[in-house]
Amino acid sequence: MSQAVNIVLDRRQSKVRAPSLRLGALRGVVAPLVLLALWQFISARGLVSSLVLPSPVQVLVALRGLAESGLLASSIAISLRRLFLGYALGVAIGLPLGVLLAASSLARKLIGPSFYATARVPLLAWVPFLMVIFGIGEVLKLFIIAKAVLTPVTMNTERAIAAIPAGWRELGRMYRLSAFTSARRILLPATILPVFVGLRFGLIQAWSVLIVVELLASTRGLGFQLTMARQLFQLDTMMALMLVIGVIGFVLDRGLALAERVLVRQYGGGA
Amino acid sequence: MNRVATLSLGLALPLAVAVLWQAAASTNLIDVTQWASPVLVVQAFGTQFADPQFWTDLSDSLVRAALGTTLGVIAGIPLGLVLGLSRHVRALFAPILDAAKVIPFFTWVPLLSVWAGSGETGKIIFIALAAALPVLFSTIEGVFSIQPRHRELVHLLRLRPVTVLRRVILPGAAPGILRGVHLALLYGWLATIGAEYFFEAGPGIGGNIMGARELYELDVVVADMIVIGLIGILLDILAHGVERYWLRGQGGHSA
Repeated sequence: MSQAVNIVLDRRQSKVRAPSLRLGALRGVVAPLVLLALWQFISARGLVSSLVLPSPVQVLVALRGLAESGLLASSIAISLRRLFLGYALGVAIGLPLGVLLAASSLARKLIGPSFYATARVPLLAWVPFLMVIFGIGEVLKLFIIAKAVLTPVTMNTERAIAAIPAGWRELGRMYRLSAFTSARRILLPATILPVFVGLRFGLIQAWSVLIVVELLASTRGLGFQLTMARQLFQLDTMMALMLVIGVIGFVLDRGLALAERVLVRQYGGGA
Repeated sequence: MNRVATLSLGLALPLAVAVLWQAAASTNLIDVTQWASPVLVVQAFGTQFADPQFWTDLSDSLVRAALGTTLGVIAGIPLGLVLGLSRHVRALFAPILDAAKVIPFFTWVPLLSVWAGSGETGKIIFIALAAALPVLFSTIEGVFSIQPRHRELVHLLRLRPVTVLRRVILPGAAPGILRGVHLALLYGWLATIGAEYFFEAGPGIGGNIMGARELYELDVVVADMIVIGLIGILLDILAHGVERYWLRGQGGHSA
């Protein structure tokens, strides 16, 4: 039962330690640059056919081609729209569900087992099921993303609330804090960080699963363009799209990591 | 008494859903050919289990998963050790590792299918990669978790490198490595299902469920889904057991 949450934490912990800034920043660029140069050399010399391994320059040219045709912008817009709609739906269900599970022991007993059982079935196995139910349109993407977000958000919210020390609640009662004040002064500081971890992990999950669904069943979006390029054997376009997908994932993750740091500063180490 | 009450409360929701679903199907409120019914799902389990093709699919998937995961673990542990032990190597490759983390894993599928082919080789390589990454990262963490005084001891005693590896590094990093292997089992299983979705169709439980989806056999899809989920849970339990057993054997090294 705790496994999914463990994985959530593992992901966070397994961040490779950043190299020290003085030398490290430089050193970190060396290996990628050397690889890039080697890659350019190999394909420019024709050691490997550019059909199998297009050169970095070719990838950049393909990227520019995608950008100029407007396809890149429209695909990014479509994928991001799906991501945010599904994410919003997942959070809108996940947060209240987590609160409910933590607050009511009846809800915990009634809904908890079903929730955790469905959470144990991997998202990937949900895909064909949801495809039968919803077809392969927009609704499918919306629900699969919402499902990806729902699990970590609900779990982390429930755990965070359940972990509030009993003493804190008592304090709130002793001082006869209003519901609003105690939510603001006790509930929020105690839970915001773990809940945020769930939100962040959920976003990364959602981005991955969106690409899966777009690769599998879609007629628009970045994942679909990747499939198209695959069918046309345009490896330069494929790599350009992978780059874009990676960068978006990176930016999303970094953005939330930054927000997390601000929260840590504001609310300390949490409970 | 209390346990019975908890259990029945937990079962109430799925049962209610099943009853409603069955009632809707029996009264023709929903189209059974499209939406199936709980009874049909149970029957689908029966027909699947009686069908030799299902067992071929399942064993093919398991063999594929085992092969790919093993390869990934074998590659991931030494790489993780090197990256964990050498600050310089780590600094060199940190950006690449970070990049590997942020590119959603399935994004690699189209490219891999061009490079390694869409057949069995491509699938195995994909699974191996999926299994290798968590092993790699957890092994690095494991090396980091080795107590500094144990490292100091190495300098004091001037142990031979092989001895250091066997007596200090491997036992010290064992919790991390095992956690990585645990994750590799889960990721390897997921990658197996995914590989069967994306790569060339062939025998496998992922191919089985996708085939059923194309025919709109919701009952078979649900049955397969439960089988896939159960195998994941079994792998999890197995890995958890191995992890605990091993770390107990090491004694005192567990985190």
